[in-house]
Order: sequence, then structure tokens, then C-alpha cells
Amino acid sequence: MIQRRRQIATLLLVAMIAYSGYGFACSESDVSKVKKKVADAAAILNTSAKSNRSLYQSGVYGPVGSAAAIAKRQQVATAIHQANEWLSMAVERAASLTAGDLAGGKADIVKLLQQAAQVLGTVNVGNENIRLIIVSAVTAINTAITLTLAVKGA
Amino acid sequence: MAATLIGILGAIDTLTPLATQLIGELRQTGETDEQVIARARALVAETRQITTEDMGDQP
Repeated sequence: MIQRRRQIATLLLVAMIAYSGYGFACSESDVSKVKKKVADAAAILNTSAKSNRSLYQSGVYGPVGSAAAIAKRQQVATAIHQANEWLSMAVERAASLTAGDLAGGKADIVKLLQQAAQVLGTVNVGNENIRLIIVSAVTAINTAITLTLAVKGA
Repeated sequence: MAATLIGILGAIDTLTPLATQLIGELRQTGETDEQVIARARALVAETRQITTEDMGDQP
């Protein structure tokens, strides 16, 4: 029984290291990994935009339609919008990425993702819910940056 | 025996979110590069539409 547990623990450890360090699909190319990380960042930012709307509509920012609530929604939406434009450029750079320019492309994409994370870091509307969502988005983008930098090749 | 069962159930409970995440990852690993970029572009476009509307003054 103890040996069986050790085998399961070892298997889980190997799977988690493989997942966190290299992405779960170990056989995919380095270019594909970078593109996937950029898409992951786009997904989390999309979720943030939807969450901002949901928080406004559910009255978390204040009474729906009030000037204060609309101002908070606008402030968060503006930051996400700006971050999304940086991310849009990262997506287009990733689209043209090839194995031949992986090193340069990675650097370009990392700079664009850093700009996106930096814009999001400026948001503060005094609401804990949206703060946590934005922090999650920044963390996800920073993870994408770290994993993009960790991709080997070229 | 009961302790072993509790241990196994505890492990399953702990690993369920990770398993859900991994299943999602595995489903997406079937995507081609073109599909990944198309998905990213669609997400960016949708985010742009949402934020453009939410930056306005309308309630």
C-alpha cells in the first residue's frame, strides 16, 4: 500500500512539474507554446471585462445607473481596454511568429504583455471584488510572460 | 481501512480542480496554431467591444 502511494505521489509530482514548467503538451513546438500563452492571456482579460460588467450590473459598484457606479465601471473598462490593445498587438506578433525569429519574437511579445500588465496595475476603484479580478489578470499575464521567456529554442 | 478511504477521498477532493483544469488544457492541445490565434483574436475583439461599451456613459 505504501509503495502504491509512493508511485501515485511520484506520478503526480512528475505531471505537475511537466505541467507548470513546460505546458502539458510536451510535444508541441516552441512557437506553438508562445502562441498558446498569448491566447491564455487574452482569455483572462476577456473574463476581466465580463466581470467588470457583471459587477456593475449587480450593483456592486453602487446603484445601477448612478454616476458613481458608472464612473467605476468606466475606469476599470478603460484600463482593460488599454491593456487589451497591447494584448492585441501581442496576438498579431504571435500570429507571425516563426521558428526562425523565435528569440526576437519572444522579446517583442514579452514587452507587449508587460505593457498590458502595467496598465492593469494602475486600476484602483476601491472595490475589493474587481481588485481581486484585476490582480488575477495581472498574475495570469505575468505567468504568460514567465512561461514565454522559459520557452527554449532559437 | 477507514483512514485509507478518507485519505483517498481527501486526495480526490484536493485534485478535482486540478483535474478539471488539466482536462480543459488537454482539450485545447488539439488546436492548430491557426486555431489558437483565431481564438485569441476573437477574444480580443469581444473584449474590445465590451470595454468600448462600458467606457461610455450609458447606464
